Amino acid sequence: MKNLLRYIIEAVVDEKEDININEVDGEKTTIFEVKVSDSDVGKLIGKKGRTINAIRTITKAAQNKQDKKVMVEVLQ
Amino acid sequence: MKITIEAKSVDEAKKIALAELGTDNYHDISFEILSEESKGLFGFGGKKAKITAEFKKPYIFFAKEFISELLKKMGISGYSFESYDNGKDFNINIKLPLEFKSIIIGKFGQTVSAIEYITRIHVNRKISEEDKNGKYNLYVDVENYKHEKLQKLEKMAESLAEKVAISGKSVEMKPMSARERKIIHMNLKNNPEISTFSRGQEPYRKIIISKKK
Repeated sequence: MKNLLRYIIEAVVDEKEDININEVDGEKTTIFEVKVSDSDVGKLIGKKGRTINAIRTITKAAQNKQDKKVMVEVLQ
Repeated sequence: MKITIEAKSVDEAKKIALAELGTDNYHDISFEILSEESKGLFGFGGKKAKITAEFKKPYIFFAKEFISELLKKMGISGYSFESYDNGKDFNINIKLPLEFKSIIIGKFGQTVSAIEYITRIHVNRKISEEDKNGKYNLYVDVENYKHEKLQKLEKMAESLAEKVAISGKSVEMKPMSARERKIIHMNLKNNPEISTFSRGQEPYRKIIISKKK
């Protein structure tokens, strides 16, 4: 899952080395905290959050078979 | 993106070009042979072969490459692609085993739209400015889901238009995406009796069909 998330984020940001994904495992949900360089935050979120919402949709679809929920959060 | 390769022979140059462009399929690339190799006398004065290579359809190639890796990472296997274009609109249809179909389409086609959106961003960034010849559209579909949905909507719009023309009452359609609305507007444009317009805010923007006064 982390791999998938990194792959998608690499497709939208410039500074690929600065991507930092932190996995926080909860009981019912797994939260992915994403950190990118300041100049890329806008690209990651997109107009009205379109890009980050598309990323969330894809990760949710990939999670489909397991019963744990996934959340993607952008840290600043 | 055009690259020029010099090598001992034309075949070798082609191989190098493929490796450099990152593909192993000869059909993706168009080659142009600038000069063929010549042996020369006793190994002297030989000339190297020189060719240029470029993608035939860079948009489709980059999109396919991206999507197949994405699907792999999502844990999906057994997919294949169909693509067609008319020079401006590039369509990619993903074929999937039945068990994965619903995952990739998502609720109301949500997931396939998300994949399409991310793929567009990726392809746009991959292709440098000078290689973009004008405006283009990239569409991603799964098992012709969107295509069939559009056809259904078109039929529905047509029958609604007939109704409106007879009754004179305006009809609201359900909320649709920008592309779907555009196609319905275009289809009903030529009907002299009715007019169409959109109302509301995304994502609940919908088409109203009303009689012309």
